[in-house]
Amino acid sequence: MLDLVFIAFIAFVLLLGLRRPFLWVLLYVYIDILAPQRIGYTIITELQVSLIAFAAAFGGWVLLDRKEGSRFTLRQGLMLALLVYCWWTLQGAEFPDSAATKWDWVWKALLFAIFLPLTITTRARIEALALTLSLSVATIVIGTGLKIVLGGGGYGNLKFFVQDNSGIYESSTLATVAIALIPLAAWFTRYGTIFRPHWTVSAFVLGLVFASLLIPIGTEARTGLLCIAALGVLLLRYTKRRFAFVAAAGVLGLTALPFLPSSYYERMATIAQPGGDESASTRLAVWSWTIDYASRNPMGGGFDSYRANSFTYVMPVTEESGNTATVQYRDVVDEGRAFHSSIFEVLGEQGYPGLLIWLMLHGLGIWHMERIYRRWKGASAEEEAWISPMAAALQMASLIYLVGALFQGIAYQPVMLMIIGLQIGLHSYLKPFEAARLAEIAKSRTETDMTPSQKRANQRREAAKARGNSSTGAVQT
Amino acid sequence: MIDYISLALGHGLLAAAFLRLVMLDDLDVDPQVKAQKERARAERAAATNSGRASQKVRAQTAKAAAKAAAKAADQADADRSAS
Repeated sequence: MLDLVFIAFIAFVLLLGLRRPFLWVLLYVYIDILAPQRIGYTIITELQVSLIAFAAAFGGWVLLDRKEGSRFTLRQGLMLALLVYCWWTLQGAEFPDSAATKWDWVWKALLFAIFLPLTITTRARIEALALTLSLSVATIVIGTGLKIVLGGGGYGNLKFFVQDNSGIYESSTLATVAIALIPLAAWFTRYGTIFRPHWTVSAFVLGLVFASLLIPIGTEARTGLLCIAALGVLLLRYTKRRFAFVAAAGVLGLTALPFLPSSYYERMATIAQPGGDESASTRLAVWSWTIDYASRNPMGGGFDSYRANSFTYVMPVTEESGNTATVQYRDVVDEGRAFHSSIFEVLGEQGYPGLLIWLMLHGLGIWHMERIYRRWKGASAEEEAWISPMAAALQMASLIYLVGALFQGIAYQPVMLMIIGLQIGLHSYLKPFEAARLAEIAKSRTETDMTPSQKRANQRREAAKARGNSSTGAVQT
Repeated sequence: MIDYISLALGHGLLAAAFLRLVMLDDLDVDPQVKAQKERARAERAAATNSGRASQKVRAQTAKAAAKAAAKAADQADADRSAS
């Protein structure tokens, strides 16, 4: 039954796409995030829905789209360079089989992220992509949030739609993505045009924000807690009443404390004591091993090169019998521990050149969004007011993702690559308007610096000029 | 059950959004980009027209000046021959 519903939905969007082929791009976004073919049980698992959607999206763009305003930008070039470099490192990969498995999804995610900005040529498409991203993630987040509220949860215990701990269906990754998309979801309450600002939109977004904040709590993902902290710090910049904001956040946090399970406190306590937890203590060992590995293989060891590591270290192991807990220090041998950080993931797999490209890709995105935010800040006209808050939301998404990425190997996370695609699309869309906007800013700055008498003289000059223009116009007619 | 509720909510909203997008002409042609292009075209045309107009004025002024100079020279010749 569920399979039939998914197939009917996909068929419905494919049909709608005949009139607007851009919907096929959105269909691929939905399939790539939610993965209905992995949620279903029967027919849909046999269908190559992802391939069908990509073929439709690409074919529709090539054959039917106007392509007016499509540009190939520097950041797309960086992603292309990263894609080619990943392929090159694959040829000499230390573990060819597992490297090939990872390459199988990485190239698709990168290729789609390169292609995506070419299709983002209108304001409506920017919003449509942001909405599809948010709603696809929201479908997972709302379900997870409801389960947490109704009593499920715990590290590794929460049941997602898909139970293979991969992609977005991994607790820390979901927590990071959910928190990163909060500012984008909030954007729809004021500037949405597909669903206009309305109390129903605000209520849905409020519920979604609440569910997103519950994900790190319900999954007990420590990285998620850091992402919430990063979001709080970033929001300070856009808050007028900072003191009230900090006080409200404090009160909210304190109110939530009594409702948290004790297992949550125990797990969060290990953030500051990495020695007390295997997952956290091995991170430090893996990171130091990766630096060493990169000095021996500066061009990278190919995907999944972490499989080469092995550590022996002493760790406190707590054993409980009845009411007595004993702590013993034992030698623990660990092999093939994952990188637990995107920085070290790229360093170990693609070496220093790959890391440089990856950092440039994200750094440029943050810089571009900052420039757009500053340039369009204060624009009050309906067709311009949405730009600056959108840039701020996308910048926060990047920064929160980077905070989460410091502690997880999510360097090629498809949702975040789509966010990059959205950032490039926004930057590219605004290019033709930049000259006019800069002239407007320069004019308003000059007016601000003028004395009242200069302002009056300027107004008289402008009026005279306007009269002159109109008389010339009359003569010409 | 919870899974079905959230899947229904997410898919319902996505379907509503896609239906609205199908009806939206702005999805393929951005009104702002269109207006910007028209403005640029009008500015280019105005610049060309004013350029042509000023060229014409310059040519007419030069022609009139040459005519006046020739007339003055003829007048001077006539005066000389009369005296």
